[in-house]
Amino acid sequence: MSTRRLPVYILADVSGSMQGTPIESVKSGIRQLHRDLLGDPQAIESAYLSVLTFSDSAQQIVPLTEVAMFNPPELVASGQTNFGDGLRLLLEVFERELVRTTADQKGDWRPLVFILSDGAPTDVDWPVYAQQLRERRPANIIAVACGDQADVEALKQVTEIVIQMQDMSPDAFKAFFRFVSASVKQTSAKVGTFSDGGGITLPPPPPGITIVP
Amino acid sequence: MNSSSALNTDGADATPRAVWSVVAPEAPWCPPEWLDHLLAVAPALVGADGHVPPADAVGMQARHNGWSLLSASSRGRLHAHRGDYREDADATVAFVHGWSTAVADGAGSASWSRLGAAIATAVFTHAVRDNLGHGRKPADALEQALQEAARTTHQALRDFAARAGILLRDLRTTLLTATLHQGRIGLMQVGDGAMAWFHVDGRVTQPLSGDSGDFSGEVTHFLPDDGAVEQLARSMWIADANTCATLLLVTDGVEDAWYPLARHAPALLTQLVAGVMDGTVLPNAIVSSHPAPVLGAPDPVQALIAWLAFEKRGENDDRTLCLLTRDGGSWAP
Repeated sequence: MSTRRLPVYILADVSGSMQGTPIESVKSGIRQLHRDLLGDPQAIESAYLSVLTFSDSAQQIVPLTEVAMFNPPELVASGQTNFGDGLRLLLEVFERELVRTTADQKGDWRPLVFILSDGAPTDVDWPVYAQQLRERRPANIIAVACGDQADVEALKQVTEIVIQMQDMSPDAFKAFFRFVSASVKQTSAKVGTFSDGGGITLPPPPPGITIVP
Repeated sequence: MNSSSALNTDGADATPRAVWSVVAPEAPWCPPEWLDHLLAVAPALVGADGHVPPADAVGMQARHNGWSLLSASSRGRLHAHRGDYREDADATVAFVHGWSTAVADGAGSASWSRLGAAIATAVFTHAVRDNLGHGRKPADALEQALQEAARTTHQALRDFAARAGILLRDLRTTLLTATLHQGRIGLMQVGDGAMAWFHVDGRVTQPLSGDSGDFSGEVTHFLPDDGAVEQLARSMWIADANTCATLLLVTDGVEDAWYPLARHAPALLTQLVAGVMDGTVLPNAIVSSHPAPVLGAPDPVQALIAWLAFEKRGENDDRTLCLLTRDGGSWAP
């Protein structure tokens, strides 16, 4: 493969508590994100999208796909919040899909990952995978606490970048996915620094979304 | 793929897809209130009229001390689309017994990296000239002159940041330099980008290793961060100029498309010298924007600027290339 990709993963909680307006808003947000990225020529050339979900178990609904070929998926909410299986699957797809720099080829850009969850983990294994993600730092991970029932402390164990959506209204999700789109566009323009062990510079969050200190 | 590489509405939905555009930057290249600071640390960047006219593309061609020098630096498609300035820079200075050339790539995430790259290239080359060019210096003065120029450059960037009241990280830039002095060439590099040394015996090597991590674009040292000038000093590599037929310096906008450069540099040089023949397949699915030869063109600088517009999917960064060819030195694989 000679094209350097900016992999963008969305890992969405589709447990029962997301039924109704929240899951519809996530689906709508992914469609909006796709439309936004089709409006950016750099994103068309370099951004690749993947959608993963977790409830009773985790699955990759859409493998890493270039923006022009991406089809926004149908999502159904039900079951428990097996957060650990979601993180395990994330680590697995990183191993399988990411291209790293070698003497022969340039690697992908460091992936952008957005993890959305509205509740607390119902499994017991998640801290193991959270620790692996923190130690390996295979991606720039932004965790999103959706509403006031989300377990911010659990998300904080995955990444230092946690943002809070104050409610789960359609407008809040819309604003969030606009933020995702701006982050992808900015990252595809500004990749080039990983000094200080730091990752990306995020755009300012829109109203209704705050960065958890 | 062409200059409007995106598609229209033939995909899975009817969403229109973007095309590349060319937008002029609105903000000044250097804020007027900083011009005095620029004049203080890098007077070569400020014209006699007190202005620093930026250009989307610049280049130069010269002959000095038995070498032909050709360089160009061009704003990338992404910066053009977003109305940003070119953040690459280059500079070349000739003196009595040699020359010094430098290319630099301002870090994309740094607000004022275009100034950082311009200051670094201008200050380094002029500092080398000042260290070597005034009076006849012994051949072994090269090492010390390069080390002093590195420190001078680092300090100039820090002085500018202090005067302008900005963070050091706002000026982050790479720097790749080559200096000829009395039959020896000294190279230095911090950050990414690459150099290729075409030996007279037909080999092509990459004397210095660029700075890269697991993923693309991950650079650990930028000037003027802490530790960067030490990295620049450690990188110093000196060789007999007579072993070199041609030397190539490129920023990552060129290197990434032609990666690995040590392997693909022969094809790159061949294209510059002879052009692209019908049916020639370029490495990494690169599409030539200037099939005719660059060297020997009526205007080699404009030809090189046109050549720098080659296309490769996803590679839309600024591009800078400096080609140094020794008179009488021939390279053939």
